[in-house]
Amino acid sequence: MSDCNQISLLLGPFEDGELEPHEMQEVARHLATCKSCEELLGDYSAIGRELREIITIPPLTGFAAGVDARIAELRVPLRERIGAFFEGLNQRWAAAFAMVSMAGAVAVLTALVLTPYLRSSLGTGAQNAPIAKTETPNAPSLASTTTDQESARALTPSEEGSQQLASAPKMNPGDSRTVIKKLESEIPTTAVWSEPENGTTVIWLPSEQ
Amino acid sequence: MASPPSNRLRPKVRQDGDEAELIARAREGDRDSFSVLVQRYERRVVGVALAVVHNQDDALELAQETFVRAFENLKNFESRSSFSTWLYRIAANLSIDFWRREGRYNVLRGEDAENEMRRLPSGEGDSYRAASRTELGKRLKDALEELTPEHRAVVLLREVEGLSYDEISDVLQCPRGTVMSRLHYARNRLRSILKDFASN
Repeated sequence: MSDCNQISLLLGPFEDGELEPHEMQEVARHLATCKSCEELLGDYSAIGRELREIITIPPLTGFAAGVDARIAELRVPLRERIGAFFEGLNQRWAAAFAMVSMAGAVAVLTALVLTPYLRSSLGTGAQNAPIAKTETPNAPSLASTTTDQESARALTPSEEGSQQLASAPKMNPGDSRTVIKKLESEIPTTAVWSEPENGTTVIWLPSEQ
Repeated sequence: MASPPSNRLRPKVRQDGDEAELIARAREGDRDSFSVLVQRYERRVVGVALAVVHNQDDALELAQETFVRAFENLKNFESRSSFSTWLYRIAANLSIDFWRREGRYNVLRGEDAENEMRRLPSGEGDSYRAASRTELGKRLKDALEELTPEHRAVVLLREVEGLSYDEISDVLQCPRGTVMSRLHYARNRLRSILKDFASN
């Protein structure tokens, strides 16, 4: 049989249901044969009942509203206010940066999309304008009806070169009034034009190096 | 034969799925969400404070202070323990500090005093039993006052609030074995007072 002193330590947890199953069994077996421990357990139960009787929770009407009012009165600490200010500032800067970045991206995209069209339209204009109006006295001699390879090879196959090619009629010494009517070739490195007044077609090719 | 251990006091674990969301919103400063949490736990928090200070007005004041402190420190709340345990711990700490500071005198104020007045025999036919119960209650209250706040808190958190030993251990931040020994001591102390009363 278990010792009453040992069991008495377990009676509270037994009443509270906080013992392991084997301890519960041991206490229950002891209680079946021990009047004094049974009485002690009864007293513990009575204490609990009496305590619940005398301890009453006051009415809590308006309690939450009172807490809310006190929270509303709280002053935000300086550190948090400074933090919030910088956070706001960061957000404003971030928004401005995002807008500028967006505008930049749109500009770049627009430029990328429009560049080929602009280039072609501007390029044609640039070629046509001087070609159509060029009046070049004392230009070096060119082969009039056939391709002059040697002269053409002296030019570089660049856009600038093509513009130079386009202005090549300056070099026609035969007719200072030459007017180029039409640029025949679409290939940027090759210039083909007609000289109706001479009745000739001139073809310029890039030099091959 | 003793009755089998009762589970009537065992607290039901709250499984509200929205609690984490309420806490998160309250953390962002949403007072409405925090108010929901206050209403959810106000009774228990007042109970914890009352278990220590043993005075209703002080308990209400301390419970309010508990929620205000909780709101201010929500950023420090880690989900390792439950929100309720965290709240009870704040309430217990505040209450024990308060009691040590100024709660050594059993002064009845406000509703406590009125309740005590109502319990007193009027002399116009109150039964002996009622008077006796009032007297027993008074003796028990006196006995509770004699306990240290830690012992009183343990026995009241168990008997009145129905917290488990593990929860009491969490709330009072002491080992489970300490909870058991304090409970054993407090019960035996109260029992001896009840015995004296019964024998008289």
